[in-house]
Amino acid sequence: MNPMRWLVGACVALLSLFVAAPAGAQQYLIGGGASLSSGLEGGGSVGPRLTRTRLRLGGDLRIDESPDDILEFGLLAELQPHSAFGADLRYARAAGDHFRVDLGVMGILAPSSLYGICSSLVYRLPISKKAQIELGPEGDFFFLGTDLPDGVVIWQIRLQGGIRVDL
Amino acid sequence: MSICRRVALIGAGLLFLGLAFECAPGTDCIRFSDCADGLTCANGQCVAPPGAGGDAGVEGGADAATEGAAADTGVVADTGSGSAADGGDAAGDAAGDACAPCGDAAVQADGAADAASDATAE
Repeated sequence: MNPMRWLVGACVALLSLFVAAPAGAQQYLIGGGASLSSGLEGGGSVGPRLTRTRLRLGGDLRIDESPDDILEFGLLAELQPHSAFGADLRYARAAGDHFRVDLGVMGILAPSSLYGICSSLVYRLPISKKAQIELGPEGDFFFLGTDLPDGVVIWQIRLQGGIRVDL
Repeated sequence: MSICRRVALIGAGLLFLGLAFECAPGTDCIRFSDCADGLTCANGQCVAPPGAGGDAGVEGGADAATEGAAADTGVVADTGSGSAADGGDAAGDAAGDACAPCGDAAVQADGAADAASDATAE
């Protein structure tokens, strides 16, 4: 190979490193919120009956390059008539400007364990530039855990409502 | 403010009011933690675990609650066991009708359940 041609090629390659526009850094978009939910539950020979009221303190994370794909996580507290605490992790997908659907796993961790899957549809109503009211149905299925009698799968249909804020 | 937003806000308000005045669930169990201490959940009912002393099958937390409360206050000695049983039924009815006026009945049922827990613990 001609050394001169090789040198010119190397210089062009080196120059292109500095001339090329730098890629924009990904930006994380974070939100947080709180919601209350209650509804009906059943399983085995019982139900439907009123289910426990649940408080969820959650956060969501997405990147600006793909804002419709959302990772959600939350801390759960069952308030009455018996208290219990847990967590969930969900993948959510924005469906239009106001709707969001999600699917994930959920666990009640204390004082007894209960594990299952959850899914919900949420309607977001903006009340300011950064805050929205959230309303929608949620369905849960629990099929593992020490709090579950043998052969019982618990289903829950909940109506949830709360507020979310872009942080 | 648009009509849709107003409707949604009213709906959210009603939801939280409903949650705030939620009635107590019935006496059936669907999880072990639905039952009072010392009882276990079998076939949708809170019962004494196999091998436990006392009554083999304590059906419903409300009955046990009322009996326990009566024993604590000495009502059984004054009114006889028949009255205690009636009280148990009344507590059960209150728990069953807990959603009617979402207030007193539910509170009474809760109180009976608490008494049941105390009686079981004793």
